[in-house]
Amino acid sequence: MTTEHASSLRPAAVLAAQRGWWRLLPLVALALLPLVAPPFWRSLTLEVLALAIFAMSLDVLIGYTGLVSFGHAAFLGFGAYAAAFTTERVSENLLVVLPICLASVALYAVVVGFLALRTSGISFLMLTLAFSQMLFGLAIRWSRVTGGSDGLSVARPHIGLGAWQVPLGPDLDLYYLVLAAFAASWWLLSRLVASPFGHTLRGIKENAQRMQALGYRTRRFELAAFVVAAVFAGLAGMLLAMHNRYVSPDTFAWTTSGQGIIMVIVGGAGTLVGPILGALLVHLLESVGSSATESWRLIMGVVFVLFVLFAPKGIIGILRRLRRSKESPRA
Amino acid sequence: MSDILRLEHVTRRFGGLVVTDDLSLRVAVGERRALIGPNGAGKTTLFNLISGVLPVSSGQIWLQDQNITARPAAERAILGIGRTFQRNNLFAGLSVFENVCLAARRQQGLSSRVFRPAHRYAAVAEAAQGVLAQVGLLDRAGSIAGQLAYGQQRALEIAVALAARPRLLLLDEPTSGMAPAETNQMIDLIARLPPDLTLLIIEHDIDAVFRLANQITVLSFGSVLAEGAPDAVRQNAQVQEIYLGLPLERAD
Ligand SMILES: Nc1ncnc2c1ncn2[C@@H]1O[C@H](COP(=O)(O)OP(=O)(O)OP(=O)(O)O)[C@@H](O)[C@H]1O
Ligand SMILES: [Mg+2]
Repeated sequence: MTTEHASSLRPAAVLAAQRGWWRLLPLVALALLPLVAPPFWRSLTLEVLALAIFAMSLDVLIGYTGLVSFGHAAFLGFGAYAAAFTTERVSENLLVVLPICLASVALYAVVVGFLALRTSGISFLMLTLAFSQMLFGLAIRWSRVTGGSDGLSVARPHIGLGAWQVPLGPDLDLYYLVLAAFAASWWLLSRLVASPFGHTLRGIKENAQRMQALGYRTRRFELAAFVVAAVFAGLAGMLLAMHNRYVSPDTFAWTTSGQGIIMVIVGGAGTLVGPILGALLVHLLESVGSSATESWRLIMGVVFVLFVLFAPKGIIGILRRLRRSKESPRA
Repeated sequence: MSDILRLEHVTRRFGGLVVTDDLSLRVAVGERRALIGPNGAGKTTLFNLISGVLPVSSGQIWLQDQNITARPAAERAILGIGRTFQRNNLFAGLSVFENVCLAARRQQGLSSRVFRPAHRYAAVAEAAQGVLAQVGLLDRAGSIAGQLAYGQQRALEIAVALAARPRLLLLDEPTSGMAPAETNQMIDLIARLPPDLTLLIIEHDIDAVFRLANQITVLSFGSVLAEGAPDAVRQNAQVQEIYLGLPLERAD
């Protein structure tokens, strides 16, 4: 009887599901959120969205290509500092700032990737860490340019195209900018991982040697993935800097890279959606937890260990298992 | 007939151990060459040198008129050298279908496309299905490669190599560890491969060798002990000595 009832509801729902429209629901909800949520929650959501871009980009490396970078914060910070320099010295027009930020991150990532990808496994992890520590040191020491440990202030940009000017000053405008960037990143990265290129990355993660035996120059693909991931991390860094109106060397700290890894693993590596949920969980823990208790880092550590031990495929893995066990009795 | 593969004085050392010892070899287009020899003779190492998994210590390797000695493995594959591995070396976590698609996609030059979803490329899917049908794995296309039975993984190993459409295919003990019925199927499959595909086959199963090969090279301690048509090699006294105890003389 329930089946009959369900099937009468089916056509519209199935059609929507098949076309994937349901994926847009969270975005619609996020677009409506500022109308009901107080500023604190709106700001928190903005941060989660920016960190989700960061986590998704890291997932391209960890979950799809099998490259565990422990220095991904370098690109988050690079994008943030690039935003500070560009808005200060070149232009506050987003249409100028954005390409400059992304292009400079890409260029830097080519250099780091070229060097770091000569190694693999633990050495790769250590090298990426070393490069981010290098920037950390540079940001503190080269204070004439970077503002040292005080950091730099970052102007809110505007969008200008001839006579058409849209200021992005108010927090609400920036929220929608970040939401748009998040949606675009999600869409682009989903396309990317579903494309032949994305499948190539998965092949490399599974078995790089066999890929080479099949004619894949794996290093080139790894470098391409590394640069793509860096550019999206840079985007996240730029947005966060604009949101905070401020950037400091702490962005480069290895703990930021570590949190990125936790977001990816806890959410579910190799799923893109998982790291979004990971970013949500980790950032909620950090911002809500850190005001409630001193030991939020400990809690986060425990959560991470529990996931690694009991749910290595992360939140998404748990959800999939639940769905399978719900489906199988009927089948 | 022209040679597709030529090795000239190829030597490979591991520390003080000379595993391939000043070895020269020619293989003609379309040949079915069996490579036999006792364990540790250096057969797999030779495949690693030809396919570029390992660099030579000295000597040269030519693919038709190209000197490929210094080329990396991926480039040699693009030039038409395919291989299977003695131990299954698959994309264990991916589907059977995706295993062959990865090879077909590279062969069709599509592997770095970023716009359309991978499954929309009909030519890749067609090629993959063709190869899976050829090795009898079409009904397992959706399974995870690592969950196949051992013999099926062995067949997939060949399917992946075939999907890249090589000109020269190196098969490292394709029937090892298989049940007798599976071995027969595998030998039939290899025997049916197109005549313009040159095969180099490492095989311990002497029956398989005599059914498949029209030329045999016997390796011992990294160099060629004997070479020639199957019957001539079988009569060779040195070979019989090495294979003492092995049923080289078939009971027919
Ligand atoms: N990477 C390596 N490092 C050191 N020694 C190696 C290496 N690869 C192979 N060898 C040695 O080279 C010799 C030949 O090995 P190889 O695998 O080529 O033999 P094979 O003829 O394929 O033997 P089998 O019939 O057992 O497969 C062996 O003694 C082996 O230990
Ligand atoms: Mg061997």
